[in-house]
Amino acid sequence: MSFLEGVLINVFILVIITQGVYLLTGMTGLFSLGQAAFVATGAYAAGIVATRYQAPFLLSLAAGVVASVVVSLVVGYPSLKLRRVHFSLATIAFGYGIESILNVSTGITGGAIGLIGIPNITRLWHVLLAAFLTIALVRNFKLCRYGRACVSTRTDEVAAQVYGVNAFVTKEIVFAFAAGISGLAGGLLAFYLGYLSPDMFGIPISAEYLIMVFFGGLYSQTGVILGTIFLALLMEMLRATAELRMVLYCTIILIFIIFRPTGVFGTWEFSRAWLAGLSGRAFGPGVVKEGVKDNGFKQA
Amino acid sequence: MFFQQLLNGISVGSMYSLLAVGFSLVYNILGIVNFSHGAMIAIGTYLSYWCVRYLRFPVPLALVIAVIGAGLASMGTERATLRPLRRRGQSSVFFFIASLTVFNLVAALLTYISKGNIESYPSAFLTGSFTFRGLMIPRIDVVMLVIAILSLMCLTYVLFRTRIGLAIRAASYNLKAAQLMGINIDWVVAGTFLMAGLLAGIGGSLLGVKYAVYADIGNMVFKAFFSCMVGGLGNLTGAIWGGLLIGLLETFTCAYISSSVSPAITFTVLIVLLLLRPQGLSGRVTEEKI
Repeated sequence: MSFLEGVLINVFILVIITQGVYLLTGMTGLFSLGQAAFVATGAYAAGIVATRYQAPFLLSLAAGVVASVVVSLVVGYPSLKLRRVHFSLATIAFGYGIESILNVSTGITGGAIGLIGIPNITRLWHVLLAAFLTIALVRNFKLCRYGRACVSTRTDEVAAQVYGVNAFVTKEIVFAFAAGISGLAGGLLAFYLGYLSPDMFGIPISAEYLIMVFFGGLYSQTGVILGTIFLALLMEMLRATAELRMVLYCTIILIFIIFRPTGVFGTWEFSRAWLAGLSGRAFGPGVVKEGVKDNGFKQA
Repeated sequence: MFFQQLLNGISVGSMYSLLAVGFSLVYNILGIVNFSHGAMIAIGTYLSYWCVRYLRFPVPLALVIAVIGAGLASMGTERATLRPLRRRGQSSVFFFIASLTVFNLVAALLTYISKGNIESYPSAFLTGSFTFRGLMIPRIDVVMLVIAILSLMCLTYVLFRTRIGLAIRAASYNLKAAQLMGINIDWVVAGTFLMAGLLAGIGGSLLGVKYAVYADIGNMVFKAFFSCMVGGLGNLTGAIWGGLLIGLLETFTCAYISSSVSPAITFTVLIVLLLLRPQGLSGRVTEEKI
């Protein structure tokens, strides 16, 4: 496997993960600081199934997804009933919980030393295919009634409920969906690295996913994808500066956030209508400019 | 054994209380979760450590410098990140992300400077202990407790006996109304961040003396966040109780169960507590505004 392929695999795994974060934060307005723990759940489940039971690649990936979804339902059921701030707290607690479970259960997960001996199967086309499928799924989800329910829950939960949206079920669906996506990414990561350790999935990592989503544009799927690709590549390019790279990386993001807080892309979305508009054809009543005016976050 | 753990838990908890109160102050006024508080904790820890280690300052002087440094850094962060966002009328979530980035930035910077090492104080000034009725009491625990009580008394004085305190309390009831009454909001917010930073500096530097000095010490902010919420949203007394509760839970699970599962148990207990009492321990129910 060439160096470039490794870099691209990393980049597109991140793209998959941030699609999940986009669903949660961008569309539904939930801040999860435990998303990395779902990646960990998926990665460990896939890794354990593969090393212990010699399960084939696809089955292991599926096991990872299922494990993440099940865990998300268990975590989400009580915590999504709480206030949004409390939900964020619960995800922090979940992140700590998963980390210590992985550290303690030495017999199953290898403890702090890590899980070793996972076969190296993931190739670039696997990841690209998974990323494409995820993006398509998320796009369709956004346009169908569940996606609209999510956006309305974010903008005004009470108003959404008045109009018959079950806010709790909507949040539960989106939480499970995001967890499934993270689990898939985790499985791919496990089969790419061949080795997993608990400190790869701490709360700072979840915070980094959030920052990536905000960088591209919280309310734009295109922005999230391109922003993630840009930041992940930036991280690789800064490898030349060795230890200073995290410092430079954070500084660049901070400058962007201060001067363009809505993200590089704002609410802009790549679409066929936009392409048509670019060539100067379709400016008419049929072209609806999409955009969320109200950012949906009230000052408490 | 039990009483020693109790004292240990209370003194660590009192530090968490200070951190939580600082966190809560900012939350009350602006309704934002300010993770840059963690950066201030780390700055406090490292400033005092460097002053002792490289400049050979006595520990009390180093602590004072660290506390002032953290306060100023907090004010600077507010000036550089929050104010431009607020001026342009941006929503508070963007400050949440900016503060998270400041938190990451400071952690990265400190990792770079300290080369990822875990260090401890060279002098034995605060590390000794004395015996009282057969109990071995570490000096640092007593110092922490006393300093925490003193700083909370100072904070109460500032909040309830001075003009800036009055302004801060008014702003935390209703920011807009306070502004209409002629209170300079920029000034109030800067003052709040200064106070939060000072408290973070005290907590950070003393926790650094007690445990160790490492770049990720800013992660304590998550505990502050928890204490603040468990105690009750927007309630300073609640934040103090929350901090004590977390300190005690953590110490006892470490002592009697295992230090590696301690965070899991602590946070699970707290979440269960929040499920049973969503309004927090202090019990003031804040109605959700529509």
